[in-house]
Amino acid sequence: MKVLCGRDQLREALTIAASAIPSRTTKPVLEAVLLEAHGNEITISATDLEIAIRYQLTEVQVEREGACLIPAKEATEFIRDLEDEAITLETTKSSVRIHGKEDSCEISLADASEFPEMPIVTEGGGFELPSTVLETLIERTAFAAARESGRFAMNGVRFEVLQDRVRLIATDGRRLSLVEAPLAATGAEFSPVTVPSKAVQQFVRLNNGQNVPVEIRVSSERVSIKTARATIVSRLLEGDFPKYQAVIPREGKNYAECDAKQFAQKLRLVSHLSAPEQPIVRLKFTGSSLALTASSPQRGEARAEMPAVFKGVNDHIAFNPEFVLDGLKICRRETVRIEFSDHASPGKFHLNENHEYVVMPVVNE
Amino acid sequence: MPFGREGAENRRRPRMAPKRTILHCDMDAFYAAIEQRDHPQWRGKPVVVGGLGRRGVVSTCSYEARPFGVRSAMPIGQARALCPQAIYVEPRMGAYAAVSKEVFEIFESFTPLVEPLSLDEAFLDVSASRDLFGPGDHIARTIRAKVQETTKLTVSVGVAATKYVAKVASDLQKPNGLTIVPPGTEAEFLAKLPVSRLWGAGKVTQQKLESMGWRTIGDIQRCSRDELVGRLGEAAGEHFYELARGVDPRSVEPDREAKSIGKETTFDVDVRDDEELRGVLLVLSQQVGARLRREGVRAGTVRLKLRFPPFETHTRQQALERATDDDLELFRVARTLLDQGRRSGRAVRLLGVTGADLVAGPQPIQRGLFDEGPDRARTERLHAAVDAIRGRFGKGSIGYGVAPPIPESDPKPGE
Repeated sequence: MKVLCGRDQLREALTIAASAIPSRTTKPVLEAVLLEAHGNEITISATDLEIAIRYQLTEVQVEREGACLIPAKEATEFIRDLEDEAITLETTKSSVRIHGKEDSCEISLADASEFPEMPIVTEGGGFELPSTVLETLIERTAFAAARESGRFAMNGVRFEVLQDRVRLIATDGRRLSLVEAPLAATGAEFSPVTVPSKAVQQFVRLNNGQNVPVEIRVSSERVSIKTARATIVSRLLEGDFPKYQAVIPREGKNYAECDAKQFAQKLRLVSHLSAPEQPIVRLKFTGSSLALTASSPQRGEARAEMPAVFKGVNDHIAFNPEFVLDGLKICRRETVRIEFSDHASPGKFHLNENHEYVVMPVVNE
Repeated sequence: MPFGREGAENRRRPRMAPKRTILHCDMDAFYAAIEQRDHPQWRGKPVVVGGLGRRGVVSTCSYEARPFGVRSAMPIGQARALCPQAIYVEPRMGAYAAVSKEVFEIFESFTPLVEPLSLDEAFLDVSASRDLFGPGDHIARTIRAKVQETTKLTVSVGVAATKYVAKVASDLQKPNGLTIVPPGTEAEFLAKLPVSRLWGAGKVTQQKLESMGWRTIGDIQRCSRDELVGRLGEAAGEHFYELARGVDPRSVEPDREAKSIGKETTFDVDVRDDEELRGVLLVLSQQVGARLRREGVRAGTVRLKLRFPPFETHTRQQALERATDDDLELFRVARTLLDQGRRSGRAVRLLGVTGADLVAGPQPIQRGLFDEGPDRARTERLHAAVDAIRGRFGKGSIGYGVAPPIPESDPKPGE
């Protein structure tokens, strides 16, 4: 194999693919990236066996087709610090030579026969979205996914296609975030799947704000998220995702509206006096204001007040402020609307169009 | 230095551990006394604090209710039958916990070595405080006066050189009593008392002792060590031989018991069978659950103690998402810890379950979206009913189908 390519492009491709490499592994072969040169492009792939990332480089000149398995750390670091703008990669039987004009290195190749086959998803359902839309949907849900290994089935984001729209849901059992976006073209039906948090976060990191079409394909075991250059293939989460529809409250008996930024600021303020092991902020509404209090037996108490519109009978509820702040962070509306039935029932926060955020309260039992 | 003098010094003061001074402080009819304090119109009248539902049990009753036969852990219905004129109230755990805090602050102003047994009961080791505050009996009087002054409640105190004797002493002149057992007079003090006062002698052991003609602790004192071991077995024989003389090596352990309630059992023959161990674990969980409920507290952590022969002891623990006093929840966690800590078939010598990080009164709970699990209210009713049946017919009268019956006598050390 012999290829010529630009340093910056190769650097970026290597960094993206290498982000799939596990930080700790018992299989040294996974610490390498697979480099394949065919036609007039090269593909760089890496995997931790859960997620595989494949990245295509087209601005290259393939002089001799072939493939090799390169230890990622050495190659990435050498190319990062190489000053020449054009780079040549050339393999011998057991090594790859990476060189600019004057500087070069020769890295021993890893045994390609042990490298796992890169999975692809060819059949099954799917849909297409602009990448910025998918990024937003993920940003508004993934934060609510469970992190504890005990809630394995919730360690990711649920993807559902409903005729002309797509729905993403994530929950850790205490709060839940649900978003929807319309689909330009009707997606091909598939049963709802749960994509591991790690995979959707990889997508956000890799997309990095650019706007390109994304194609999502789902099989019974895997999902692939494909942009023009990059493909992420991830195993799906097994286990039953909770029946979330049942827990999203309809119109609550009580509702309040207040300035989202100010609400976040006041929450942060009083939560400084909350018990760190179990942060709680109590909200109490009057017709025109909201009082926030937090206290811990050892440290003291904090109070804050702000204007708010309130209609209803049950005028108080308490939340873990972290959960509410997580939601407010991604709130694009100036005014946030909160609905709840009573202090022991879920609070529903209207943060954005087509977005519902449900947080369970803290109660005294 | 001449040898002789040192030798003479040693003869005069034999080398042994210095005598400790231990106080056992026990608030009198704590919950009921607080209710009477806070409701002056109830003073001098029988007051019963407990679950008032059809299946509730008595937590505490005032001394005025006791002549009628009302006792702790008795079904509330039975109490009502015995003493219909009493004032019946639901416990206010938050209020009791606040008073308890005041009382413990007083204890802790005399010594850091305070071992709480419950909200209203503690051991204090004041050995090192004697230089500062005077002898043990003086400290006991001061504590009694301060508790009275601060809380308007009375506390009974026993002063002795060991925990066991101090505990027996505090109970002897309740309520509002002070009993001092000077070092060296323990055997004499205990001799007249019935064998039921022996720590670790439950109903079954008592019957056994009495069937041998031993009615008082003095009767036990007259037996030789060999005779006791011969009749009661190695462990129990040794235990009662020492105890009857007031010997009790346990030290006051601050914190350890403070936030925990535990039960453990040592097997006469090491147990290898998984099912049998699980059965024992369920019994222990039931005992811990019952005790938690009796004290009105919940455990935030479950701890498992496991000893493999000969003396390889392991403890593992698991924090709970929400504190519990439910037998089955304690058992579920303890069982997982057992499965993690022991490979199937491995012989076990000792097994113990402890509820730690205890909390009293209502606690803030993060509600869950998908809370399933057993209905809490139903579980509480079930426990109230089971506790009531056990209070009336004995600990072994009712239990889970898969568990062996709960022994009538309390398990020994480590309680």
